Amino acid sequence: MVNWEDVKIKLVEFWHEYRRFKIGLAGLALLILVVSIAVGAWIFLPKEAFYEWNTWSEWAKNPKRAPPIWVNMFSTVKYTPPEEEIISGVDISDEKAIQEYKAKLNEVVNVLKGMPKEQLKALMESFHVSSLEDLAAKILEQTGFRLETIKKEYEGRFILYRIEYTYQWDIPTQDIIIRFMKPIYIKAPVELNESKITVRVIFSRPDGLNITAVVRSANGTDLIYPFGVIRDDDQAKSYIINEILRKYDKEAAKLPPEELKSYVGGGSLVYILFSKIGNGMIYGKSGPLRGKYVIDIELEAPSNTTFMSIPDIKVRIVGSCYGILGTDVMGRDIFMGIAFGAGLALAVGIAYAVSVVLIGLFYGTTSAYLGGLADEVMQRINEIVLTIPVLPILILVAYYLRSIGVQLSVWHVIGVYILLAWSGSAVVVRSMALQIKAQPYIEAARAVGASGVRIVTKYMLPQLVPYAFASMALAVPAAILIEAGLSFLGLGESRFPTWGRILQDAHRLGAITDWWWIIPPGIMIMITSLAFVFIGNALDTILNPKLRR
Amino acid sequence: MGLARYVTFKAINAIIILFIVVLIISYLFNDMNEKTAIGEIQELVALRLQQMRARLANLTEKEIEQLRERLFKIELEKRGLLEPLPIRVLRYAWKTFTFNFDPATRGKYSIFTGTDTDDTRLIVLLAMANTAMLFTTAQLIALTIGIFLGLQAARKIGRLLDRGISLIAMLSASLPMWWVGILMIYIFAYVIPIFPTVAREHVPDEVLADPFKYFIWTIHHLALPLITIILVSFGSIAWISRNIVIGVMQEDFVTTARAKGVPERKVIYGHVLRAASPPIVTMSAFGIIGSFFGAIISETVFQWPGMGQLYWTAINVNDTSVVMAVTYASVFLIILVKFTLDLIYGILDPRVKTKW
Repeated sequence: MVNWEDVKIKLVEFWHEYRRFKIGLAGLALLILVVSIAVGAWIFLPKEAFYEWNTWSEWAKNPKRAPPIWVNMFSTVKYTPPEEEIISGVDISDEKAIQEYKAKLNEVVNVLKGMPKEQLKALMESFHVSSLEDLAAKILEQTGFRLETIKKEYEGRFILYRIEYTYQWDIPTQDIIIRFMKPIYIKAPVELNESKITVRVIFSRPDGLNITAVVRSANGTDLIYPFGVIRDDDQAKSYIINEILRKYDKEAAKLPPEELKSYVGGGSLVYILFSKIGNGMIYGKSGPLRGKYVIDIELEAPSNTTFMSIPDIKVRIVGSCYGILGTDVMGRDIFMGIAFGAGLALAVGIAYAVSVVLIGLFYGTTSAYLGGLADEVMQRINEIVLTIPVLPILILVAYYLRSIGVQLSVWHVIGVYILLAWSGSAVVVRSMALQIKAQPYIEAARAVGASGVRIVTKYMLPQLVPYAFASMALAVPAAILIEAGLSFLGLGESRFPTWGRILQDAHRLGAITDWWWIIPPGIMIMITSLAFVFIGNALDTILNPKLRR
Repeated sequence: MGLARYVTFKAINAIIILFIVVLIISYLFNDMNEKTAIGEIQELVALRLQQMRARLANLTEKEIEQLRERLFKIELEKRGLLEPLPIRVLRYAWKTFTFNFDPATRGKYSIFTGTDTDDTRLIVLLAMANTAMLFTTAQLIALTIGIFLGLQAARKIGRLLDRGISLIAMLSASLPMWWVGILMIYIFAYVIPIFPTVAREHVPDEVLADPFKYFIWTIHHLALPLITIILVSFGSIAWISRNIVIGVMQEDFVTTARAKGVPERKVIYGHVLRAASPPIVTMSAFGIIGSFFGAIISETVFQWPGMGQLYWTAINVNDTSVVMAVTYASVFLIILVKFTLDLIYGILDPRVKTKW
């Protein structure tokens, strides 16, 4: 039976001693910090970020390789923060009808203007009108083209969403995503192929430039990417190239047409759209054009539609900076990855430390207790295990797992490590156990007739418990560093975010200048390891009074 | 006599352990290795059949299939793949043990050798030389700094230097060396571009022509990895030395020396250091082996063509023979270091002579 009162008193005593070590307290504080990050991640952050780290669809909404939002406080170059806004649509069918009618009217007026004066006069007299416009209206009426009929025909077929956006940054948003809050409902007398909505994007800049792009056969449930619409529209692209870039940007004019086209059709488009007209516009070097932008999204339903619903849209300005720690190349939130990584790192570190030390403890004590040939054999086995390098074994494990279709996980890695790493602590334990074995009370126990199991578990192991705790604390950082290192070599976790993996992704993609991606994981590794090193050192000093001063 | 027996025993022990480890690794790698071999044979047979196509024109499909089987069997037999598993594993282990590695994948290792050789032994040797050049240099410098600082700290326990060293030691135990490397590259090659981003790149001809220029060029390229390894290593060496020296300073002979009026300087560098150096060297040697893993990854970060980079390349091109060779080389090195340490102990420890 364990006397719980005794244990309690001992713990309180131990705490009083431990409290005297500043470094131990610092370690404890760091540990609490890391644990609260780990727990906080599981409580407050969406779990998909952990379970679907590689595939979560939400990542697509974020800017890619974007620095954190707070850089704007320090940086002279200001990044666009992400924004989201819900916008209601307006039925503009009437306006459209009037516009259409006026256009037609103008056409007729122009034709009339070209006629000989005599003839015109005769016509005006025969229709009893005095102005050209009235004459044109009368002529249209005779051909059956009336404002009322057009209005009727256009009724319920046109929606306008007007996005007004004040741009006051240096680095424009990487994208804009428009999502319908509800699918569009279209009613028509005849069955209609739904995917026939025409989307018209009119991008108006503060300096008066307008860029119009059209896409036909959109769906009422699709996401709309206004920049994508412009990129896909050859007319809009050639307008940008011929009317803006070739005319005003000497640097762009020097480029061959194909290259120019690929610039406009690629990532440079947003820079062009949000830059001042001038040299270097194509690279975004002519300076940002700040002010009020209007992006009109016009939807046009097929011709025999009688009714079209007007759902609200959610406009997401993706921005060019994001969150607390920015994003990686896939738009993944690095803060989330790091916060979830904390739990994994702690779990891995503690599982490793406890297993390795416990195995070492039992193996070392048993070896020391048995002595003689058994000890010799156990020592040789120990030496062999100590010598087997872990890296090739891990490569093999990865190979076998791949051949049976299992993805490598951090538990495989740490499992292999536990199997090969206990021998180090076994060596130390054995030499300590040999000293204990020489104590008279062990001899006494043996004389009384205590069994070997009893002597090892009841009399020898308890003596080693303090050492075990100290070395467990010191083994945790080893596991965390090993895990990170192996992930970095690509021999680690493949599904969930770990700190090593986040670093590996950055290094593999050559994103070494993305400090928000490179520095935080390393700092977390350091803080977590340091917490256990501090605690371990404090324990070591308490238990090893020779080094204390 | 005692020493000779001791050394012989240790040597035999080392060799046996080496062989057993190689045997275990060979057993584990055998499957992967044979699969590669069988894949090669299948390709070879297909090629052979392709060459004989003209003569095979009047054979039925079944006969061609039989021929393919027969050719396949012959090739298997030629390579000894039809023998029982234990013999295959033993042969593989023996081949590895005697440094007869299978040829490497051609053309993947030109950064190590400068040619497209498939000589695995040469590739590994050159990579090892590179690692030794970087890693050993760094460790020697770190040892010098570390031992010196450790001595100073031990003389003034609890002072600023002592506390600083213990803090640095704990910090460096918590830092991945390769991450420090990335950070160094970021700071000193991108933010303040005073060093190159990679440690090894094509040497311009005019630099190669002038030995002095070449020397400067090499130092300039090696500076970042060297600083990184030293920065992460010296703290723990200093801490270990400090602890050992404190232990020695509590011994009676030091008190005696001081009582005799030997100057403090002489006590420290004469008496204490002499007694403390064997354990310091041992601890440091194990520390160096321990930091080898970190150094391996750091090599990938700095693109230094050493063992780590070789491992990395071999993993990525799935080259079993090179992985096996590098593994064997590292096992060999570890056992060699341990044996050497045993040897030094045997010479320094007078008890060996009587016990053995």
